[in-house]
Amino acid sequence: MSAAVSRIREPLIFGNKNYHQITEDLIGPTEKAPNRMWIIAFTLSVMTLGYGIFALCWTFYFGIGTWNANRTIGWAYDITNFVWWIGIGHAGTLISAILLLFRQRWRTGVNRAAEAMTIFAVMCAGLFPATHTGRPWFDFFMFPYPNTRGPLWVNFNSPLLWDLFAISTYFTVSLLFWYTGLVPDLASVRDRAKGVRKKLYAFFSMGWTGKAKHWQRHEYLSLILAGISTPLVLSVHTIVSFDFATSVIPGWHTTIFPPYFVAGAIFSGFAMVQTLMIITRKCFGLEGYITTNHIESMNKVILVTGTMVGSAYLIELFVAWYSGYIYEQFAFYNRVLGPYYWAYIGMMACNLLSPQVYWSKKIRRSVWWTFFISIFVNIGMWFERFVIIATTLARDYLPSSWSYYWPSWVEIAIYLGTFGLFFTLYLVFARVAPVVAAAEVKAILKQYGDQYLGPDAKPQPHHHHSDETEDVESDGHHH
Amino acid sequence: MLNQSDTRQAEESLLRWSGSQNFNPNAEQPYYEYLNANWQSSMFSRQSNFATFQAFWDSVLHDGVFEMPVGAFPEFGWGGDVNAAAAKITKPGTGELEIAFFETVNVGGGQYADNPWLQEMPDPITRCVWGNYLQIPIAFDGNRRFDGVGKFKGLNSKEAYKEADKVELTIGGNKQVVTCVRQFGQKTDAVSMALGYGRKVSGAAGRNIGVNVYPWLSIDANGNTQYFAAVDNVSEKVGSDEYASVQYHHTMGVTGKAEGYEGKVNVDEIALMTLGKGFQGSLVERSIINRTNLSDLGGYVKEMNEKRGEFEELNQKTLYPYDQYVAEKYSQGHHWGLHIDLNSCTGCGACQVACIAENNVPVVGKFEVYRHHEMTWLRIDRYFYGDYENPNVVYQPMMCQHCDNAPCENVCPVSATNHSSEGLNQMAYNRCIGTRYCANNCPYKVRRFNWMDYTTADLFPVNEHGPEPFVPYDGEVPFYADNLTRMVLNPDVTVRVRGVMEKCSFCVQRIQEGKLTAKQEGRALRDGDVKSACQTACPTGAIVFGDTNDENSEIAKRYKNKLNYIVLEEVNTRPSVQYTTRVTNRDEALLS
Repeated sequence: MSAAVSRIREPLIFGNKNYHQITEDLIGPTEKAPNRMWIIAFTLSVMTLGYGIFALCWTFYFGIGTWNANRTIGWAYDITNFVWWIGIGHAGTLISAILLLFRQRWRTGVNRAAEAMTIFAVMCAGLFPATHTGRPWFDFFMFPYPNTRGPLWVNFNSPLLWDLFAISTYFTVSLLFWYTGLVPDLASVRDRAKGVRKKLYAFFSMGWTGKAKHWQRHEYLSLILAGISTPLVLSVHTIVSFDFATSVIPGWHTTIFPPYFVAGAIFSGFAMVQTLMIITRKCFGLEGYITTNHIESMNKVILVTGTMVGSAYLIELFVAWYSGYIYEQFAFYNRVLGPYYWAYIGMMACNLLSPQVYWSKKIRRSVWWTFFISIFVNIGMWFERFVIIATTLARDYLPSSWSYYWPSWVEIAIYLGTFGLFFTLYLVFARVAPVVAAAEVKAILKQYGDQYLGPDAKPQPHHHHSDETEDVESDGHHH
Repeated sequence: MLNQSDTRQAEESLLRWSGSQNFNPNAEQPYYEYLNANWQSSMFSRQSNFATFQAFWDSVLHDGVFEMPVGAFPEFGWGGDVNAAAAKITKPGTGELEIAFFETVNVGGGQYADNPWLQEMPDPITRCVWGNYLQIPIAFDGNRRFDGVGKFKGLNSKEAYKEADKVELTIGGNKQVVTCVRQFGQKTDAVSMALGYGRKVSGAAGRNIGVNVYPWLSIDANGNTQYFAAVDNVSEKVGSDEYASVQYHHTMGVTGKAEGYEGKVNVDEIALMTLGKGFQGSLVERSIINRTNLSDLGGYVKEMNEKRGEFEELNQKTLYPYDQYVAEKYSQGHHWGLHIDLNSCTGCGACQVACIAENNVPVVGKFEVYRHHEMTWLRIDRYFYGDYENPNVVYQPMMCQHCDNAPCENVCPVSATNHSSEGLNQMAYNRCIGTRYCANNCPYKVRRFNWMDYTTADLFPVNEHGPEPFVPYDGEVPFYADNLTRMVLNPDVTVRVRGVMEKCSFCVQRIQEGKLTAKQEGRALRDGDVKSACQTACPTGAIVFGDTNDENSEIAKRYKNKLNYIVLEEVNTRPSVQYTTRVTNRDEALLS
């Protein structure tokens, strides 16, 4: 019965790969000298990172006053960028955890890079709350540890504290999950390496030999971590939204924020995955692993979450009117018509309107459309955070204190610097570890589309056995 | 006498200078004797109760008043000619643009220009600091937006974006570049500008701040300075300026005529619907300023208290046992509060300067104020209302409201801001890491963050100034690092470092001092023992500080007034500061 289904199901991996070819395609890039594109990209990334570090040092040296945040708009670029990055860091865990639990095996093509992206994005995000404080050298006051000052405890009522716990938990679990998945692949790299590289990879692959017991533990650990991460995907951005939702500021104080933030996070996270995947598959020639089917599936998620976010925008407007509360009403007048109307238009156009083109299957499967829409979505999601944070603060209760905000060069430089950090880490990652989870891809090679007979089907299905034996020594992967 | 050598009474000086014939400068107490003699000659004869002058004098001094018998006054007649007097007033020819020059309350004619506290005290009308600005008229275009009138059309349209325009102003052939600021109530054919700025010879803080307008003043035939002039020309915009204004938005519903509407309507709310131009305090039914005219007082009070009742009912719908907090905490011991009578406040700004002096509030300079980094704990908000061409103004001193249900307190991750058992919302500077969440969550926007090391309190020499010096200075060290300047600091108050939040403390050092004195004297604290710095400085008694739990205190009495209200009461912050509704007594016929 299932055989009949398999016959019409397209394979998840294109190009009639065998196990050895997968190893060559995925492990190979870690063994070659970097190409010119990589060197240029890495140089640019490190320079941007350096500029960001310079701007951060400038901030520490002269004070937060080098930013243009002010007495009315206490958070602006800093927290906008924080929420934006943390949103981007949502796709990885969703892909690895929720899709694993839902047995969406197509995820194996993209989960490794998406998880890496999550971790790097969370690192970029964490930079902002850590450095936006007036006295970052006292940030450790935020940790509830026994101390000699009383002991003086942190304020467990504060959403900022919940943030600290939520993000650090998310980061830790994501990192563990990512590393767990990496271990078999690092072992594959080790098996092919020589000299110092072999020793290093031997250390990082933690003695993996591919025994059945190893695989069993690996699978269990992955499932457990998936179980832990799944609620985290929903909780992290919910808690980030509490920073705003629990306040008294009209435009922040709304119960719609948790679901709206989570949808927005998944939306922007998938968009960033698309941007990176399209570049990565092109650069590393991985079109057979990161296929148009992946792109289409992720575009469907973008369409759904984008429409959810768009509905939330419209519901907010309705509720502002329906509430009869003039402060709330004014907050939304101000968003739409106030001095930051361009940010609102940008948000609406990029987040609500642009993904609607994905109702067309042709566009959903188009690499170029996907690339541009993913950029639009990320711009739109940045605007959304800016609208929520800066625009709302700029004009709240007392008109006497209303103000206007425009970033200083320092704030822009720090934001650019996080891009530098992100791409530096990603480029290093792409050099030292397989960007597609080789072991997991091998696991689905035979399960999905093995007996597929449609267009591009394998010419000689009975050749499989010889392919498999060739590859055994390189990854210790038995079926 | 307690006189210091070489000093004399002000009245004596006036009498000397005026060369009064009845004045004897060599007498032992010249002014006293002059006054005494005057009463003897002009008043003593007008009464019949006392036989001797001494008895009369003692009685008048004792009573403090002398009531003359009715009818003793001669009839006064008016012999002047109003028209002739009016004709003598010179004015520029009709159709010209006129400029008026005036003294501000802070730097006067320029004599106080070197005082940074006064330079940084916002002008009560323009709310600008560190400079004088050409005040240009603003009008509603009848359709959607407020704009300059006539040749000022389009000028300063980006004020709310922190940008003011510069123009070249020519008066009597003398051209200077000035920065404009749009001003409600400025006549359409007139502009104005403050005296006392642009000094060349002064201490560092007063030098080259603003524009010197004295060259534009003329002297008439009688030798009197003319504080007005005809404007030769106002150029097009020649540039833009980072103008330092602490308040861009300033109306509580100005009215005017608008297209498609009958009579006068709230043009603020019409302007709100313009893309990118939502201009003033739109949606003005905010519970910030309560005001009424005397003729409507009865109805207004009833309506206001009904509204307050609704707020209270909503505020009672809470998960938290607020009544229990009141019973167990807030009603016990002292509970400090402040009361401000909006009817008495003249917006003079004395309280603000007193607060700066008392609490070591740093001066941050023009550029930092332009960036809205000013540090003032107490500010005076100014709102216009009524016809925009002839607006009324209401001032509202605004400082930390010391909310019993404070939004700032629960969001601080490190509990650096917390509530005292006496109702104070207090800051532990040492604990503050500077997330600024408290300031964001403050509905009154009264929290102030030390964006840079304005007071040079840090150890690092580099922090003594930012990339640019904050306040201009002469010596080797920056303004606040100078030992002489540091003498202004109040030793009872911590000087805050860079990166911490601060705000009005209700002068907690004075509260502690008052309690200590009472303890040393073995008595209970009396009402009036503790006065906040703003209260002592207020010339009209608009501000009263005290213990609201003390039934007999002045503040407790004021709290019972039916005109009392709480700013943003519906937000349920439970402030310890209350205001009196402003009641004006104007002829309605004249207003319309």
